[in-house]
Amino acid sequence: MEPQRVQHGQTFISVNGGVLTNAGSVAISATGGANFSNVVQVLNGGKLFSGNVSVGAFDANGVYGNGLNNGNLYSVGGGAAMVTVSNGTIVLGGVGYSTLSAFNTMTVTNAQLQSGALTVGNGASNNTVSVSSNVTWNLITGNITIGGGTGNWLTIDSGVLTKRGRGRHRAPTARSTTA
Amino acid sequence: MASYSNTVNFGGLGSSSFVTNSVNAANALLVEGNANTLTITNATVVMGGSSSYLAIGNAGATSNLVQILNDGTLNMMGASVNLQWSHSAYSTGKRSSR
Repeated sequence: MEPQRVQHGQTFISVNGGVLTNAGSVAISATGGANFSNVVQVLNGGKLFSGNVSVGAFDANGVYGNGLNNGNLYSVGGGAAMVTVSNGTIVLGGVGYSTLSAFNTMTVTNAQLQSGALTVGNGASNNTVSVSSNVTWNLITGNITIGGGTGNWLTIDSGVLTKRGRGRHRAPTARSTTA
Repeated sequence: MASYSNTVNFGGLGSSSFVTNSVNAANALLVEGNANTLTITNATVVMGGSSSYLAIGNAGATSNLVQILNDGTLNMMGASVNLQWSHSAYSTGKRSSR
């Protein structure tokens, strides 16, 4: 059966001091049509433990989206207490209908985060990851990939990205320029 | 049929002990329709493993909120979390693919 192609939006999961644990994949805006402005946020000491996370049309299980999936947000951190998050791979942007899955955002602040590989773009354009103050992000496995589209950004401002404990990587703003 | 502007609370402030609710295997916790709120506080909700799922905002819905507040725990037991999934894909138990 074909999925419905309708406009959805403004759906929130807020882990506000609580715990969301043992989750499989987390798909922020998945299949089913045009999905806008959906948010997963972890704040005020909240904890999130999950498998792969997708922000945009690409489902973490490998299912392609089929429509506009713009302006979705994955917000890690906020409030006075540090949050703790563990994810599998994190992907912003779509595959298949890649050019339609743009302007998705991930922000990280005041957080302890570990994850697998990070992909910003994934064939789509204008997706952004911002890492700001008081962040330690340990990419346990995999690499950081920025691109596949244009205008995708990873910005690290006062945060720390590490990988497998083999030293710290501090980088200025990075930006993809070509597909 | 999806309903609208509902509030569902698991647990609650002032409860003296934790409450364990469960969503059994091959079942779903769905938030459909518009402007609905599901709150988990001072409670533990346990899903039924990878064959169950939490889906929010399907069927063309908007403005739904799931919030897990202090002392609230949602243990997915491997189940997936999906925002804005295709309702029809769920209803058939299949996910769309291309």
